[in-house]
Amino acid sequence: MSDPTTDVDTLQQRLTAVREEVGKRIIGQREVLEGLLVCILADGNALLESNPGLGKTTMVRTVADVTDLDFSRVQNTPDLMPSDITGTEIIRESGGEREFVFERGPIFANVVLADEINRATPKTQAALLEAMQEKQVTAAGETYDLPRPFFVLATQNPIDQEGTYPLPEAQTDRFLLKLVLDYPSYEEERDIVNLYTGGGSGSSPAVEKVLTREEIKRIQSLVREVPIADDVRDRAIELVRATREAETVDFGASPRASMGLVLTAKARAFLQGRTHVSWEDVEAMATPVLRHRILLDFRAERQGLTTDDVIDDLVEDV
Amino acid sequence: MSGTASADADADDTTDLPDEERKIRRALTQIRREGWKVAAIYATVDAALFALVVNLAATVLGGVPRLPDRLPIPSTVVRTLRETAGVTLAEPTVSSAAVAGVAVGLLAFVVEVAWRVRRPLVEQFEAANPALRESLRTARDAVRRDQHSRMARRLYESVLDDLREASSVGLLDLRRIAVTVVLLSAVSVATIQLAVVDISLAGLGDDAGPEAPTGGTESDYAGLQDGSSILGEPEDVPEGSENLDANIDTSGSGGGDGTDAESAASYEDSGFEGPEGVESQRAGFTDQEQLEDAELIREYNLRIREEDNE
Repeated sequence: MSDPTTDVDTLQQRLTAVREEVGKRIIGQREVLEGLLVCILADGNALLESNPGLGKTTMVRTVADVTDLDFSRVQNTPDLMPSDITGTEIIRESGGEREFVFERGPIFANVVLADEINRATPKTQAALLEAMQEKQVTAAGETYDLPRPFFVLATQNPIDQEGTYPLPEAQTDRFLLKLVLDYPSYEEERDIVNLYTGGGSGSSPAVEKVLTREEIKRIQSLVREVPIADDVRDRAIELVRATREAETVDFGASPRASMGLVLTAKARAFLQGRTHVSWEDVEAMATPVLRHRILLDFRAERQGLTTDDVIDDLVEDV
Repeated sequence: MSGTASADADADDTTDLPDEERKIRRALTQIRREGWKVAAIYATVDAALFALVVNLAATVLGGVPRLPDRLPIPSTVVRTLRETAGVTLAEPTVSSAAVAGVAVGLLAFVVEVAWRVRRPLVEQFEAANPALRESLRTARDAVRRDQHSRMARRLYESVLDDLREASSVGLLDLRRIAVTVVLLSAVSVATIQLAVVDISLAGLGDDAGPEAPTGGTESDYAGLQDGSSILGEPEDVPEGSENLDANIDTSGSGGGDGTDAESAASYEDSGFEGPEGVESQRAGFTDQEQLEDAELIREYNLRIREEDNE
């Protein structure tokens, strides 16, 4: 039996290798990549807000490649049906007999990229989010477990909102993190252009698989064991509760946010190679955990405040 | 020290725990012990300073109010000293100022130790070592919650490694200790000086005792005070009855019996003669002026007698 502490060190080194491998294809976007990995380690799902062409598909696919996970992509449209995602029963003929067989949908993968989720109808959104929450799919009276680890990355386009179905607050609360992908800096964009328009075959640089599914499961188990000091945990809870009492916030975060904040702080600590949660982890995860869980008061909006501004103020006050 | 004792007891009850957890518990006990040591160091120097200041003040002000100048040492103490250390006290009393100083010093020691350990000692150590504050605090909470998970054990290992490079010196404010020691030295010197020169402000008050010949109070002087014990009781000396006549001859120069010439000659023959013939001269009035004055005095005397006769 291997020494458990050695195992921890080994897994943390693997995560460092994952970041290095992803860095071969993705220039910059370190915070978003960290958020993605935190979400996987915490066994959660992420909502990604980004303009088109910022490489979110490449990033998620690369993460799946280096972690030996299955990857599938769903392009949401208004005519997309729930069964198009979860799967449906079809009649299959074999040996002269016909039988109903469940044909699994694209959601049966370890990493699912649900592109432009707000373009799907609420019915389809609900089916996707229910599967995401329950980690299982029910069709024709049969329940099918989704593969583990299971991670959904749903994207939203912040512009061009016409003809979309914005996710209701109760649905967005199911996402552990909301990540915002911004445009790269000039130097980063120059490196991206050089990387993908330079010599070679023109395809993406090769990456190695450095983390197995089993190792991800072990890491997910270890993350929950990361010790957190009582005062750090209490401050994290106070921070979430402060969103319900702040004058600038009309609708605050739920206790699910408190759990999410502590869990993602633990995952970030593990990702950083530490064995305990620091307040720095809570601060770093506060905005992605809370930004999609609060609604600003009209006075705050009139002052031009964003949810990120309000959360920053609350973090400073706690 | 009950906190340390209970911590030791806790440490002894950890034999069935994983090695890392047992070590971290011992480390926490050691940290608490270091905290006690630091509190004792502060309290000792401060208590010594308080004791000396009170002793000095009480001595300068002439004693402790409502207490005699010297307090008797309990006979049991005197006997114990004699039997165990062979010390025999000539005067089995002790200065009330010294007793007051020791009492105040002991009180200051107890109060300061209690004040310094009121905040958890491990927290004080964490504040003095900010680099391992979060990890140590997390480990402390994990130990309190009896966490034996893999990550907790890894944390204990990490904290133990960090503690090997940490120091409790940060708990001590060396500048403050140095200032206190300097003050302590100054008050000690003042106390010694007071014992030598015996300064007292007691005479300034109305209720001060009679002064001794050296300027101090009678109670301060421990030397000979009764001259009769040496010289015996005073007695009357009997009056003499035999009368004797005595004549005393005078001689030498400068007197009124010698002539002026003799006086001058004797003056000129005496004294130092330099190699270049420097002559000494007699200061004062000339002979002629002296004669004139004598004549004038004589004239005045005669006139005064004539007036008296008339």
